[in-house]
Amino acid sequence: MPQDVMIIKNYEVDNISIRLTNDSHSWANSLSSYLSLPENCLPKTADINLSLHETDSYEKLDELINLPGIDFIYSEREIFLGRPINHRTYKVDLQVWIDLSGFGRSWIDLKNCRARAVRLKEAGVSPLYSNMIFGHHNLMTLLSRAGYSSVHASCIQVGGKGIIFTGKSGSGKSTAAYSMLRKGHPILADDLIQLKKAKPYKALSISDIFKIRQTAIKNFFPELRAVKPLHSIKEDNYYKVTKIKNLSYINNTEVEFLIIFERTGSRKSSLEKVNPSQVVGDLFPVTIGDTEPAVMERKFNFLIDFLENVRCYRAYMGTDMDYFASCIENLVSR
Amino acid sequence: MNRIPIRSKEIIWRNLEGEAVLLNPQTGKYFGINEVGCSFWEKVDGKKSIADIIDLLLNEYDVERKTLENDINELVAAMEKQNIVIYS
Repeated sequence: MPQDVMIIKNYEVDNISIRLTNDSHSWANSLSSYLSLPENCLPKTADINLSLHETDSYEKLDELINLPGIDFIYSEREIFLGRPINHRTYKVDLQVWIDLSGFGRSWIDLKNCRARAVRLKEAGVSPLYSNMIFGHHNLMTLLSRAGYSSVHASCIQVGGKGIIFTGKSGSGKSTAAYSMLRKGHPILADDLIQLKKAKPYKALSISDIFKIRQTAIKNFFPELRAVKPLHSIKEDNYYKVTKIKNLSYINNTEVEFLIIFERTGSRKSSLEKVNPSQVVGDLFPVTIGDTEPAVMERKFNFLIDFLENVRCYRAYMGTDMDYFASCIENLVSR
Repeated sequence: MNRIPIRSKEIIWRNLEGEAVLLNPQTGKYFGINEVGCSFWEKVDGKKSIADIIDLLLNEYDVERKTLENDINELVAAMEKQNIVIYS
């Protein structure tokens, strides 16, 4: 076990206690700012444990996270985090290793609800991605042991009711969420939420960072030009909701609506109630993804159960985002 | 029309308010079908031919035979392409 862990932070969300340990002050502060979790001062033990480490040594990397052999490789692909990085996943029972070549590694022990991540110093990758991949994503994965399932969607709350916007990348999830956010409705997340089976279903988020494309700012939300983003990577600006005046964040809500989008190019938006089966083409590919058959079947049944318990709509989204927001407000107040 | 369709054993599916969603976990492909398609799928039992099922559907829906036959042929062709149905 590592000897030099220095910083411990405890959080609690939806009665789940989370402990983060970190051997880097700067990373601990940066991740603390990235996440938006209520602090829990004196927990005896934590339900979920994540330890984070920074090193410039590959020996130390191997010492902290030793990869299983090549026989256990589950998947391999290239991802782009400012530069191409080889992303290799290994699986042994309920343990998962993710090796991001030249950037760092994660080890997730689902059975014991713990994870460890190591990032390499001066890897040439934005610190935002460290927080996203080694912090946010690992915690989201561990939350699956508490009955949550990750869903690629944005989520806002209007009049106490949760609304999920989903669709393929670039479909308008973030644009829709921000158009509600600027009208005073709290956001949970712009891209990834956790969903738990309950009556009604419950959505959970652990970060108030939202991403919005510069073209969306230019076309719809010029007021954001005056706000300095937390990060700016290529065409995407990242903001922290709780640092922007008049915007609000909540980390959980009951979910009543699910909305998919079709862009129309006209000014006005409209909404049409659809059979839940009509949203599958937008929700499933981004949420279930490419995984093993047993996991796919479990996720399929989880999402179908969810669809049986929400009201599904298709939004024909126009360019007047204030009008779009009023359509959603009217829907909820009906 | 006289062929007898059989559901591929890999397929899992659920009825959602009268329509259906099918998944082949081996390929990760989804398939959504409308109310008539769902009713067709529910009747695929490895015994009835496509023509038998169309006769049953004509008792359920107020639709012309020709229109229904075209729709079902289109659906079956798409299902065959995705290995959702095979033939005995």
